[in-house]
Amino acid sequence: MSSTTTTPTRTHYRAVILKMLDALSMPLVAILFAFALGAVIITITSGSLSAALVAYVGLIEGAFIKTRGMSESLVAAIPYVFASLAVAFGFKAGLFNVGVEGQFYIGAVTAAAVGAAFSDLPAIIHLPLVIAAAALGGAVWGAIPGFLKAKTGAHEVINTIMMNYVAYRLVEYLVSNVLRDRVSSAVQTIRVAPSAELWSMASVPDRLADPLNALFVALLIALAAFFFARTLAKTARISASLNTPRSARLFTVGIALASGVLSFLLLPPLTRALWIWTDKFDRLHIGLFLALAAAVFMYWLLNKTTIGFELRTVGANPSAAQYAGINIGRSIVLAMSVSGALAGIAGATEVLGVSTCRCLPLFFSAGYGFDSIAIALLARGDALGILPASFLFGALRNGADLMELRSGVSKHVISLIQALVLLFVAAPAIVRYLTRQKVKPAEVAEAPLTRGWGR
Amino acid sequence: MSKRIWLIVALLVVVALVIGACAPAPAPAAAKKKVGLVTDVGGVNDKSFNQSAWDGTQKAAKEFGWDAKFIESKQPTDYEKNIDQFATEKYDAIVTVGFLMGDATAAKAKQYPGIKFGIVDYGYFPAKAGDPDPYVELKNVTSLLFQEDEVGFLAGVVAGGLSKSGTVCSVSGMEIPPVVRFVVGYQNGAKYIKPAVKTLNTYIPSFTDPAKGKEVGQSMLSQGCDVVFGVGGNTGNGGLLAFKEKGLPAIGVDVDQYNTYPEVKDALATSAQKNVDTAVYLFLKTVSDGSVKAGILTANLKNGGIGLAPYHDWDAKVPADVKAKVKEATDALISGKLTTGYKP
Repeated sequence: MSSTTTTPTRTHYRAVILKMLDALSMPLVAILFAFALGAVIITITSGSLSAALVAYVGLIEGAFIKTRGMSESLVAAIPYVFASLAVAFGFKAGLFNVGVEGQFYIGAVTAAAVGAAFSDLPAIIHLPLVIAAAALGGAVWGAIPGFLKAKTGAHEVINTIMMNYVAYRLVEYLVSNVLRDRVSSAVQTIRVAPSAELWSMASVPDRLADPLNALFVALLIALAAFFFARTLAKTARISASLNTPRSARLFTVGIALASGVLSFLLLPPLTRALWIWTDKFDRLHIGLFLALAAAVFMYWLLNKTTIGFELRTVGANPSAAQYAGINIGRSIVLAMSVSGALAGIAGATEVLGVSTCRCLPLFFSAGYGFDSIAIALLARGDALGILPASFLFGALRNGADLMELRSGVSKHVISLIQALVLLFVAAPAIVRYLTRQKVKPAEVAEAPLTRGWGR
Repeated sequence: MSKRIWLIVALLVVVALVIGACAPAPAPAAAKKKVGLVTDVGGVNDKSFNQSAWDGTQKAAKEFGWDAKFIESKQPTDYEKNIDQFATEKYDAIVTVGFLMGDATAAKAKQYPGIKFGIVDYGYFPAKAGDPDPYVELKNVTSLLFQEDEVGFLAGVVAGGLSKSGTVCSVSGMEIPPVVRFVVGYQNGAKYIKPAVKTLNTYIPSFTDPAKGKEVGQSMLSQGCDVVFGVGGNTGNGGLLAFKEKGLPAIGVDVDQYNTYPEVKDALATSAQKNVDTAVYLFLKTVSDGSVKAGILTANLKNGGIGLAPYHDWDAKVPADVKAKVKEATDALISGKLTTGYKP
């Protein structure tokens, strides 16, 4: 390769990396400041600096190092990813969906119902069905305030909050009456069929021993490979060598087929032989992959499709969008539906992957829906930024227990640290002042994430 | 433009690392035994079972020189994780509270056979007749159960003593063994003090339906009942409320409802209390002296695991002869001269 072609690429990559670092610097500084201030507060309230040290050591050990610590952080991060994607998706269309908690509940109860309704379906049908049902349940719950906003202008913040309460009570009714497991002394729904469970990581080799399950996974991998290859075929270097549309199609389908067949044949023996998750008490489940896929899907939907462009336009400037001929009402309903669907899947992952009884118990007080607003803000509504932000919140939520055990510092301090992170993220001026950073006039007038009253 | 910001990030990271490195290593494993309490979603300040369990844990820890810590569960999916937290920290005994944690406790007890588990108010029974005893497998779990019929009996003595109409009643939740024990004891207690007393009872298949409880309470009022015993969480509370509104005496259940349900405190003559703190203490005592056994540890009048709550505002209104009868029945039940008439 000649040096004339590599030089621009290299500077291009450098620019991209610098841009990423720049985007990361503000949240990182916010996090560090929050922890520093948190340490000061712990020191003041407990009267000794060593308490803060023991607390933070406990926090880190609990979140990452101790047995199953890392797994538990990821377990907590999975619903966070879905729920905060839901909030962020709303942000992009200029909507503030505060109803994620309610949509989460509806998704959870739908998953519990559909999961228990069929007992002899194979996972290849049942699992997608349950996830789709949960997404649909959440979507309907999100679409109602969207529809009200589109038709009557009723503000979505008010309506989503009200819908939350309707959801809580509705789920309470369903769990304690219609769906109730009459055998158990606890008030909970009937256990979902094994085919509807989100496989725990440790059970993957056993699950793959069933050829139908192996086929299921192979199909998913082929699908992912298909999209990956299609993107790859569009990159400059490769599309140059694929000079006809037919060869490009062959390339894409070929890669998809090959990876599908290969994974069908190789995955079962390979996972049997080398699988790092052998601890059967580890609660990490395959919802992790689902969460990663959801983030990529949302990134693609928002940035690479016409629908995404329309939604972002509506979010940025509804008047301009209307002038450009975009149907605003439709966009609002669509955005709220997708947002609700993501929140619904968050609820499903908890029921199908984490809940001890693989069912929905009464008092399923999660709080994921509200924390996720903070996560979406921390990630500035960016689909891929939500992954690390969710992991951070999951780790804090998980590490808090060991922190409290070791140091006696109340785990509510974690909420405080989260609030401080948000404060610093939401008010970049404070961070800029603290770091004596010069402010460019253009950056002061940052676009708001959501719009206020009216259009 | 971002040079300075990165300098600060780097500085903070260095400071954090230095602080981390200087942090005292976790205390070396002391010979001190450790006991952990995992609360259900109610939390440790719920004025009910969780709080009482924590009191008992602290009392035992103080007496035996142990370390005691608790973890509050935010949601049902946290139960296993929180038990695991204590287990991986090498705790010697773990107490879990309430029937919501039955499954999680059983799963973790199997995983950690070396740790002693005590679960409050939850028994593991064969799913159907002929199944093996679950405690054969759960070798390290002790269920702390309560002999509800005994304290129900005492509540019945009070109710019978206070009744002027000669009819006492109970508004009950689901017809499950602990509720039935309360009710049977209550009815026989009332007959103990007033053999001709008429007893009414309705089981409502819910613990969370105060509206229905109140409705049933009102229908009992119309049938001439003038003392009520509410046995069934919020459903029973509805019954208490119906009587409070008529200015008639009511008897609470499980905890001293004078504290936990102040809306009806004027009407509360007493409460048929499960002393969770005593039960937890008794369990930890067996752990301490090595006599701990898998299976059921029954809290009864004899070991103080159950008892009537104070009369509070009704202290002056409960006649001395009724109090004397309560005392007499208590002694007779403890010595075994008297039975509550409950047959499983």
